[in-house]
Amino acid sequence: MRALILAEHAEGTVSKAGLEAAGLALALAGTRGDCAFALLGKGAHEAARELAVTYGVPAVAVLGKGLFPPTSWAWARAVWDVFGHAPPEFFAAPQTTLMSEILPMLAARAGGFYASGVEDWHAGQDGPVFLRAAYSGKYAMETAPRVRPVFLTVLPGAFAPLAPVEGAEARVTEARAELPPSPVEHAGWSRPLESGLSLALADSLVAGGRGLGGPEGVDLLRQAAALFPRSAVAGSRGACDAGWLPASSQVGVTGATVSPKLYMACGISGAFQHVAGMRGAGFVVAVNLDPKAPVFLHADVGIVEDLKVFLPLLLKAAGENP
Amino acid sequence: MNIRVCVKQVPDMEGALGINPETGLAANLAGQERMDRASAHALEEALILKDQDRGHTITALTLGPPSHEPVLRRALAMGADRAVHLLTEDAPRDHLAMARALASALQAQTPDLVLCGAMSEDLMAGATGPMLAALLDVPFASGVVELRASGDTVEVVREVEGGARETLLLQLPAVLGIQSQARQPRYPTLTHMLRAGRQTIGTVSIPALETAGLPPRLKEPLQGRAVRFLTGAPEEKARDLFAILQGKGLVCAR
Ligand SMILES: Cc1cc2nc3c(=O)[nH]c(=O)nc-3n(C[C@H](O)[C@H](O)[C@H](O)COP(=O)(O)OP(=O)(O)OC[C@H]3O[C@@H](n4cnc5c(N)ncnc54)[C@H](O)[C@@H]3O)c2cc1C
Repeated sequence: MRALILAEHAEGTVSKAGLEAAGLALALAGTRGDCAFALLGKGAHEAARELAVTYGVPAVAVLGKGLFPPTSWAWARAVWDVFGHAPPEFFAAPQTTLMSEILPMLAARAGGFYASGVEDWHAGQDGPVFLRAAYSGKYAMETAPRVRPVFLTVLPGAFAPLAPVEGAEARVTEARAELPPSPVEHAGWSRPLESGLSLALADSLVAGGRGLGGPEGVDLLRQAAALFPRSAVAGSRGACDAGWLPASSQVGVTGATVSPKLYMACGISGAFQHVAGMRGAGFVVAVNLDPKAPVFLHADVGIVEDLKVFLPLLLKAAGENP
Repeated sequence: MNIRVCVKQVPDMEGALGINPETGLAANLAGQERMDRASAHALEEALILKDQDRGHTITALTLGPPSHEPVLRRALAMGADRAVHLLTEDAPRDHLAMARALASALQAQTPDLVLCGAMSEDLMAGATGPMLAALLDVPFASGVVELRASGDTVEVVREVEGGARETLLLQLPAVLGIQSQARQPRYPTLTHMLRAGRQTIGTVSIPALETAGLPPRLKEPLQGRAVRFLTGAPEEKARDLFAILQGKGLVCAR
């Protein structure tokens, strides 16, 4: 086995982001037989069977006490307990909260190489070269391993998910992890303060970021939003953290995922955690003072202006245009 | 409690950036550097713990070249008790090497709690915290937005996908990755600033670090959509935008 895919699973299935990580793993390993899924915790068996049958990739169900609910402490230990004695060349996982803890933990333990949020890769002279965002998204960084194993988290949406294959059932095996008592205890879940329901239902979103400069900027967003049908005001984490907008209007990985017909990003830099939540929008307009703001890489129309100057002018243009 | 906070100096990302040919890393063209935002939030959480219990000691730690001393002065000015500079020749960029250097510095006197930013603004990897935890063999949680220390455990609330929140109890010592949030990092106070200016900063020389990766190379970021920039005076751009949106049927019919 050359590449091990780690993924969260629920009810026997792995998320799309997990299958995308598997897509990269397959590209790196070459053949499905050289890859394997590792599934841990409750339902690991069902998930392993389902994946092996659907994708023709061998799957290992890792069982043991303390693997559910998942904690990075237990999962990282279990993976190393089972695979550490003969580690594959690559470990790939989706860039989720849990996997963003586990993969670097494993890399440190193994003395391996870690790259997070991998968006692309190519074969270089001395092995694979991975591409990922850096500097608030203003640059892409090429990073390549000097050592093995290589531990990767994969940016959701960046790679095509592993495709199913018919009649290529692969082997399912079982492994047991022996874990010492855990110093981490899961003590419950709570939902976000308010779901982003109104955001999800809106056809038009006018979103603001730290560039709003203060609560006054929000008034401008509201007025601009009134120009568009079924509209709502949304924001980046920057604007919500600043307290100018409620946390419930946050778009992105730790907020709502939206796909309105129109998304107008004002004073938002376009960090990948924000873009992840609005990539599916129909038409994207970005207003930003900085022509190099990464938000423009994800916009159909770009306007390099001060939003406090530009939004009033847009309202005026609308007024002139009955 | 003995609290260590890993803080990092980064180029000011708001201004124009360029690639420094010597280091291969990005630099603010006007030379502006500042404390990484996530680091500032990590320090703020430590300061809040100290506000509640004056018995805690906060040590700010940075790993970087001599030019990164200002981030430690800033940390002292915000209220950290002590500062230690792990001196390297260049700005470090290899995750494993950085985590190993920090771990060796921390191992000498294992702190009760180590706080890092969940993800720095420059390398954007979120690797230091979890790697450090693995090397110190202590538990870790990232995305932390609330923490309460009591006895030998810390209770944290952390944010995950979609904004859902998970409560975890971690036995101390532990490493936490602090997420940015509504509690904004405090500004330096005058008394702290005066003290920060005089205080000596401990230094530890870090030998050339063995890296797990080859030197990274910066490139233009990947383009998701083919953007069309509107040109002309602001009024013209506003009229053009409105016309475009109207043409696409995206504005309210009136
Ligand atoms: C684990 C994790 C999860 C995260 N989840 C999310 C998430 O769900 N959603 C999210 O948004 N972020 C999320 N983030 C944070 C993300 O990395 C960025 O820090 C955040 O999106 C930045 O917000 P911003 O664009 O408003 O601020 P900044 O990055 O500070 O950008 C402000 C922008 O405004 C521009 N500007 C300034 N003044 C003006 C003006 N007058 N007119 C026009 N433009 C102006 C500037 O040029 C700049 O581009 C997450 C981070 C982590 C580590």
